[in-house]
Amino acid sequence: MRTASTAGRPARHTREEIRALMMEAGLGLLVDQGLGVGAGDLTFKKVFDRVELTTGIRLTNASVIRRAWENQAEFQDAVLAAVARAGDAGDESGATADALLPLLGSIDRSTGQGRLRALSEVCRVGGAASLRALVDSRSWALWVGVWVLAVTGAPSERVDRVRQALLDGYEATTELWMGLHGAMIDALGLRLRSPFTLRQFTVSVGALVEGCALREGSERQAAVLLRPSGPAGEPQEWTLFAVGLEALAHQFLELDPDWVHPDVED
Amino acid sequence: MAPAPQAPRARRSREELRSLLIDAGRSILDEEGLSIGAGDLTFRRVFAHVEATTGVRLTNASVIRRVWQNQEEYQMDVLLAVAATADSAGELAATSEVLVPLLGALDLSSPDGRMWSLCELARVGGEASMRARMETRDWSLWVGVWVLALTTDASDDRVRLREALAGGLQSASDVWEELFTGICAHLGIRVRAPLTLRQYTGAVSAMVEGSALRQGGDPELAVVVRPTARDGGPQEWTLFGICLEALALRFFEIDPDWVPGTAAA
Repeated sequence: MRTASTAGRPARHTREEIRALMMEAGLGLLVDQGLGVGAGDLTFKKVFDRVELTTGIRLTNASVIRRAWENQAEFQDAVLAAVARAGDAGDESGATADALLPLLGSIDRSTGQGRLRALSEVCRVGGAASLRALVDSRSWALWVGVWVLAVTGAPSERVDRVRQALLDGYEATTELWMGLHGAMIDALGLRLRSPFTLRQFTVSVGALVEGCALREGSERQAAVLLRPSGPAGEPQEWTLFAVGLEALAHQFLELDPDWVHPDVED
Repeated sequence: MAPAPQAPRARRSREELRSLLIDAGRSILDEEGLSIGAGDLTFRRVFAHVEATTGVRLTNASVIRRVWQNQEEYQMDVLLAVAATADSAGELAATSEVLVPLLGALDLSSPDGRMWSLCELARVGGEASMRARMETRDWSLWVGVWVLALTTDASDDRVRLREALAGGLQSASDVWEELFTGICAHLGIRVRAPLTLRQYTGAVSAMVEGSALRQGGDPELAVVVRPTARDGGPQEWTLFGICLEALALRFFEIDPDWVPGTAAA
């Protein structure tokens, strides 16, 4: 007697079974092959139109192909690499410096206690500005997208180029922030605790702010908390990033016993 | 309004052309975002994968208007599933596997011993966590969905994705908070007011995620040797472990009311 299976007719699966099969397969394919990420919509036509609109310069395929790039795909890769290399591009560091400048005139560096309080305030105010700048930065969201491409893309020369561009951008950003952190450490009469290095501190702070920005972008709760950290113990608003930043600062830095107040030097 | 007047047809160098076009390309990407999504996840590919792995043959008729209205709806469901899974497959499990056996060997005999034990958990647990995070691609996919949620033009999709991302983070935080609650009880430590354990969980998770974004392998970050063993001898620390210790020391203090033998994790 022929059963449904021997007759060659496939068994009928329930809606739930089919859903489960398809979801598992889809997730598995994504894990293996990654999301489709790229600049595929960035056609020469679109870019030529943009160039003409903004500069008056008219370009054609003949202007560009095999002159600037072999083809459109190579151009798209060059743009992705430029995004990867741009990294911080000054947005976050600029916003942080802007927030801290007004503070620098009022901090008390006359005692060790004063300098540590100043460090906390720098973390609180600078930290909030840094996080806000990153969360609001579309450039950074793009950078993260390029990161996804580099990490999940199938191995290829193209992906290798993007990865290298990310590393180059990361290095430039790290150098920029090392300069800023170094200046702040000097100004507050601090030094790095042995055996830590300025690079380790900078990379740690960078990792924390980016992790906080990822979370803030997902759930816009603006994790603000109140701590009695004001000069007379009054409550002040802290972002979670700033609390973590203060923790890292105390881990990596200490008062420099050999520091001389600039006024004394003069 | 008239477009910009046409510039004279000067022959531009290769470098000028590249610069012009890359700037234009970047500004378009800034406005429109990357093309990112599950667009390659066609029914055809998925049916082939299902048949290859399970022997079950499906067709459009099996699925369309039966399970999903169309392919786009299916793709969105897959993305939502990725968004809802914030815990990089088994990072919690890998960390617990390493920490739980350690709990029995820690020095709980004094407040100093208990704080040292907290730091030791940061050191050992931190390494396990980062290794687990870097060994899977799940979290990288989650970040991809994050990028899509922030940069897509479709506002309904953006809302659904953001809700799924937030939901995934909440669920992961709930589970991690349970682990940390158990650790606090075992070590006789408490969160410093006015901070909360949820905030600590958030800070640690942010530290892990940001560190994973920086997995570029800067050689200076490989391992740091510090004289932190119980007898002052050297121990190896990852940079991530050092950061975890910093957060732990900021968030926790000795609980003066602790009674040894209180329920552990």
